[in-house]
Amino acid sequence: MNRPVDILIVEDSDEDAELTMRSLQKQKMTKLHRCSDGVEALEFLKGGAMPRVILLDLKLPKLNGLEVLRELKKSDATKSIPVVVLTSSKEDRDLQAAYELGVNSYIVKPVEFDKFVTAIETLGLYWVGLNEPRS
Amino acid sequence: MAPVARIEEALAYARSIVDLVQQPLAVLDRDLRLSHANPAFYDLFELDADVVGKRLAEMRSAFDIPGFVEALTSVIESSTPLRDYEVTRDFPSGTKTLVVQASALAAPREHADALLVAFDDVSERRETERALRQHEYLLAAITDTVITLDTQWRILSWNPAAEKFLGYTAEEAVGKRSEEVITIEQSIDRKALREKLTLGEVVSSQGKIKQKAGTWVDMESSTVPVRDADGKALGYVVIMHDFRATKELERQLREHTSDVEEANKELDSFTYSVSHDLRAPLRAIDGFSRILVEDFSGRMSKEEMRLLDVIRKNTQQMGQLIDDLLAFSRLGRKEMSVGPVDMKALCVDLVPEVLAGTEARSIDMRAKYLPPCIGDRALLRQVWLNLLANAVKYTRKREHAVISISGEEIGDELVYKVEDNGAGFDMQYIDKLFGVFQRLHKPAEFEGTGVGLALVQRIVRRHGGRVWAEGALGSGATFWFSLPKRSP
Repeated sequence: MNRPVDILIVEDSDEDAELTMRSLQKQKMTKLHRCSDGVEALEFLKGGAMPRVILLDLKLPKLNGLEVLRELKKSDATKSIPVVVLTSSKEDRDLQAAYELGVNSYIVKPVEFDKFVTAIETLGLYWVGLNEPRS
Repeated sequence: MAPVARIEEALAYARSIVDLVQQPLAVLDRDLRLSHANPAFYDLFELDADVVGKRLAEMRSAFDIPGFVEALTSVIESSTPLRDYEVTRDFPSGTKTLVVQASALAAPREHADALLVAFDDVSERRETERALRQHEYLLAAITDTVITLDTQWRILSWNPAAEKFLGYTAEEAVGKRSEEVITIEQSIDRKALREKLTLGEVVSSQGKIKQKAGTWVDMESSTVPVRDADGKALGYVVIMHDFRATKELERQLREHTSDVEEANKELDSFTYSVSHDLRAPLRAIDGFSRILVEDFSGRMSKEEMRLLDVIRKNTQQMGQLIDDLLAFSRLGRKEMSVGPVDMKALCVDLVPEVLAGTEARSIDMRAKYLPPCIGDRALLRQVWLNLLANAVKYTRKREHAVISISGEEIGDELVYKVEDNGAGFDMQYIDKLFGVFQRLHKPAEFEGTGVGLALVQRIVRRHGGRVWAEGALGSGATFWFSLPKRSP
């Protein structure tokens, strides 16, 4: 019932990753895993991991955020995992593209817990242990 | 026949001849009185036979010409004819130019010392000559090639510009058929051209023409069919314009526009990346300082906390600056999407955003009638946002803030006003008020980046309006902006 919630953070900047993880770890219900780039993240997921939510930075090296998103949405295994994109400003041009790929939730960095809660509510999820989405 | 009878018969003949002649003729006696004149004379000067016996000047004051009487008298006395005496005078029927010839008549004894005066009304001819001369000056002055042709397409005239543009002199061209001198490739074929001309249309086309030297040059031409008053074709006028310069300018413009577009795209890209890249380290500075403040406050002195606070405040300031600069720079290059704007609704919409976080304060913000205008809604929203946010900010130290918003039509402008009772500003520095990065208050008193009002000014100016302000330190400030009533 009170199993910690698995959250995958895909973020290349160590500082941003540290700040994000600090904000989310304050709520002891979270179990965070971080990947530094899209390739690592896709490998991680292929290995069988099933996070409840993916926080995906849009600006990544090698494969950029949108490309990772496309890959996630292509594969049956991963396309149903809720994704929240992370961006430095709400005028990020890639946000529009992310929306077109089916992601309608974003957080403007720095990630803070209340922003996180709002973001996943947009996905139809509720925080307390991340209940199933309302139909 | 008796000598007298013979004389009278001769006279009768003479008179008949004189009367039949088309040219106005008058016979004057020694005293320059009219003995006899032909119908042509009476017609020309609109006189009747009752003037017989009068002097010319008595018949028409126009004949009262200085020196004329002397000239005629000298003909009688010296028998030297007066030739080509040209004079222009005003007659009742209008101004006429006359050429007068006068000679002494060898006459039968009773008509000794008589004068035959012939008049030639050259008024029309002189008029045409003058028009032609003007016409020639005009043709010489025109920098475009003007060629006239007859209905058989033979060249009638060839102006100096034609000589220059095509290389053939007027001597070489006039009289020739147009094909001998004009070799053309144009957007309309000859058959279609001639058909249109027959219908009386002016035909314009673009193409190339071969100069005498053999070079092909770009030209634009118009061919006008010329008709007389009865609609009969008289010929054609062809006007050609050297198109090379225009084509060159067009090419330069296209290049320039594409350069500008390219530069804009690059600038856009640059500012976008820069702002994103600048934000990242700022996030880190602020985020990590915050960790210290939140998680380690227990272990830090008040002074250490204050120092951290300064770091955070400045970082946030920089973040705001980046946002403002990005907006400011983007504004210059974005196209405006103009339409009707309900200014009252726009303001009312903004109120919650502007008043967010001020629940603890006492703020009286009221908007009276605001006339609707024509402009870019998103940009005008920015204007109101900045002005209202400023009013809220600078009234922070007032126990009871009063902000009034109003608008009215003045002439062909719409003038909007935001008035507050806040900290005001020193009118001495009014020139700096709308400058970029210019602030009239210390950051410690009121935070700000100094870009807000510059943005307002830029937007309003793009709409074709103006901004101005009045303030008094300590008692408040009023900001106005005007927009033209019609579309910017």
